[in-house]
Amino acid sequence: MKRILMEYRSFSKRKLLFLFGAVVLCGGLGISLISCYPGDDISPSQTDIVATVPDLSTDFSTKKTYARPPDVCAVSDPSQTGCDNPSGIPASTEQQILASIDANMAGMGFTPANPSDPTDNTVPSDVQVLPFATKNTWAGSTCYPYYWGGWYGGSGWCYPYTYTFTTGTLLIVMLLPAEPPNSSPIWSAGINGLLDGSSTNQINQRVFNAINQAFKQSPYLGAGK
Amino acid sequence: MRTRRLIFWIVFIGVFYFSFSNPLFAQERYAVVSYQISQPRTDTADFIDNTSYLGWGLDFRQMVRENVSVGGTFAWNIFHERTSDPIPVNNGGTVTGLQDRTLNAFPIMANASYYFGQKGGIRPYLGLNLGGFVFTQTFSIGIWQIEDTRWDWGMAPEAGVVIPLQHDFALVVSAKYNYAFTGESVTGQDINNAYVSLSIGLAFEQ
Repeated sequence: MKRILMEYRSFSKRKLLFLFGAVVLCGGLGISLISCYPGDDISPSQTDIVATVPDLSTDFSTKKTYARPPDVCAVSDPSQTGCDNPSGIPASTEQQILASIDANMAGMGFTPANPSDPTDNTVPSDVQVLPFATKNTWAGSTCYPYYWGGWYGGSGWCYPYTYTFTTGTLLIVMLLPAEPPNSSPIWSAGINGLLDGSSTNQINQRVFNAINQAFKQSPYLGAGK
Repeated sequence: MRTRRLIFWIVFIGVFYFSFSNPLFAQERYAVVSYQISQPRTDTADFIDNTSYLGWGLDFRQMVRENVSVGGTFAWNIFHERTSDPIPVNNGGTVTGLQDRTLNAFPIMANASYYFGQKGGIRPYLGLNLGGFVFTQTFSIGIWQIEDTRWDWGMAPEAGVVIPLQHDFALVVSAKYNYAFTGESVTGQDINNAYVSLSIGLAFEQ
């Protein structure tokens, strides 16, 4: 009996040692995984998305001239058929958008219908290019991660906080002037990104890069030119 | 949150079951805590093609015969890739942006293993794990994110070697092919997640 009790007591020490070691090892590995977890550390410029969609039934090799409005348009109404209102974005950003469109259209082999004035819509052009810009402010609420306790306003299991952020969206559509006003565009580019945390100069640089990317991923626009 | 609670209770119950059972009448058993490196294969590699250096495992084995054990296995492997590769979409479209792709894999399985060699010596083994995985897939682009968590049945054949050390401790090195019979990508397509894990762990043998 005494020998059995001694063996039991010795074994319990080994089990406790294992338990302690296992907890330390498991906890250490878990903490290291959590601390090394790939995070969401991105800058505002890294939130930029560029999406382009062509109408592949269009023969872009026959489209050689273009015209555009003098200003960036506002997204004022889903049924709008033209550039009705100024966009309200800073003048320098507007100029950057228009200059980038002109430069990239030239790079794709397009020329303004009126060589001295791309905004002249009295001269017939093969395509019309309309840029639209809008800004949206989002608001929401969420919980601080890994917060297990507390009670706040009825949420129970988390400590909530509210947030707002503003995004900008630029839409460039290419239309056939001969088609009815509500016809689908032959090419569209959508650009979206976070505006918070960027100065006007930084936003202008991002717009420049994004418009370049939109045309870069649309090589068919320059086909046959 | 629910997944984390499940994982916590599995680990908690496993560790305490193997620690507080009757020492005088129990069969030989051991637990293994391991570090794992994993390489995605097939459909998993289509989503994330980077090697995972973030992984750990917890295994519990009970010898039912001198060369056969049964038990359970649990692990957590994190796969991640950050890329700016363009994504082709239907009808010639393209989407470009900084993408963060993450896959958290939690295999939870029962295990049976056959050991070669003699007790107390170096023992190679072959094992089969059957059960399933909890997969959490996250796809982020710009400020947008899609996340999907699901359970998929699967298996993981295993080969390894147990190398005894001093005082009931042993080194366990093994390779495992994790394969899910079912699965779905974040965009809703049918896939079969699969990855190879190489693990090195410390076992306490009772």
